[in-house]
Amino acid sequence: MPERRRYDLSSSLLRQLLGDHLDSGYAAAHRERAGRPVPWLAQRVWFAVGALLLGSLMGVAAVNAAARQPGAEETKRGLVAGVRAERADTEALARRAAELAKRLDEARTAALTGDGQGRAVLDELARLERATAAVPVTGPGLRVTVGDPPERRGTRSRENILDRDLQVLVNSLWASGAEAVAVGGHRLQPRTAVRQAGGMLVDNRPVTQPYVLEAIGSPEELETRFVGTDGHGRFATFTQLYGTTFTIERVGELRLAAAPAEEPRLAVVPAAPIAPPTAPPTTTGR
Amino acid sequence: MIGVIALAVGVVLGLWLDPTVPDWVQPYLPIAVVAALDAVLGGLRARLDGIFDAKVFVVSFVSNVLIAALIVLLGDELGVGGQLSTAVVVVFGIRIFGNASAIRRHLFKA
Repeated sequence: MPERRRYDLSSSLLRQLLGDHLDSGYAAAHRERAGRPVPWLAQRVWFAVGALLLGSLMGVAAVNAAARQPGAEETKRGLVAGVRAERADTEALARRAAELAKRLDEARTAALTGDGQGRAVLDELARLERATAAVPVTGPGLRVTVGDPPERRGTRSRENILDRDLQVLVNSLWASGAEAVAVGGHRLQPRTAVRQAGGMLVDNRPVTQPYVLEAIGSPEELETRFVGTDGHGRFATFTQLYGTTFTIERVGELRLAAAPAEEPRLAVVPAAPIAPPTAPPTTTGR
Repeated sequence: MIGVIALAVGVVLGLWLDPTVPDWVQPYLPIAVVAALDAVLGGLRARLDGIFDAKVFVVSFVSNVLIAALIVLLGDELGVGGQLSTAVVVVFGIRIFGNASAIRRHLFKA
């Protein structure tokens, strides 16, 4: 009877596990001796060997554990505390930097608005700031939304839209005359990358589907030119082939935030005290 | 007495020599300690039962440590990770508790 046997097997296993804690070797050795006295010297030697082994094992394990565990824990706690402190520092410094930048702006405006040359420099500065996405911008524009069909969203293997597709789309928007572009709410500046690493990253910050691209410019002109670009053609094909969602809407007012400040790697002091508007920018990207 | 001295000598040796444990041995040390604890409690209980045999103690201790390490190694090689070491710890834990309660009954009659 197989059922009976299985029951016996499991119950004996459990009984042994729960009730039979002593190594059966002791009982067996005891039975074998059958009352004869234990050889004294052999017992002592065996016992000493066992105790020595046991002691050295415990000692090694203790040293090892002491060397490894608390050190790792302590390091981790220290690092966490360090990260918290640094983060608070960063926030405080960022607030201070923003405040100082505001005061610098005010001072610059006050100093330069006096004469024509100063105003020309200010205009050039404003143009460069817009071009490098250093200031927030507001204006009419296009909102382009692309995404995989909703039923496929979330399954990574079925994602059809790749970083290079979004790159083509962004470049098409620039080519159509967009003055400022944001992807997934992240403003693009000249050195922003749109790339895939696990998920989609814009300027190293993750964005999720559906991807919303916002471009500032005259909506009619933008759309007319955009329809003829590679990016539009590519996504129109995707819509037919894979059911990719692809919508373009004209928006009366878009607000694009400034891109996070890029730290300058090379700064050159201009030769003239005030550079003419056509001079190369004093701060370049590389 | 000789056992206590040998134990102390062993601990001192382990602490004093401070041997650099190779990385591949490190995962087996905690398991070996648990197996050793089981052997110690088993030996103590056998002593109280009056059937202690030093040879059985040493052999069971060494073989338990080795087999426990082997099972953990097998688990690592099979790719089941820590699950087999969990099994080892559970079994030894049950035995340690059982032997400890038997020792308690011997000592306190309760």
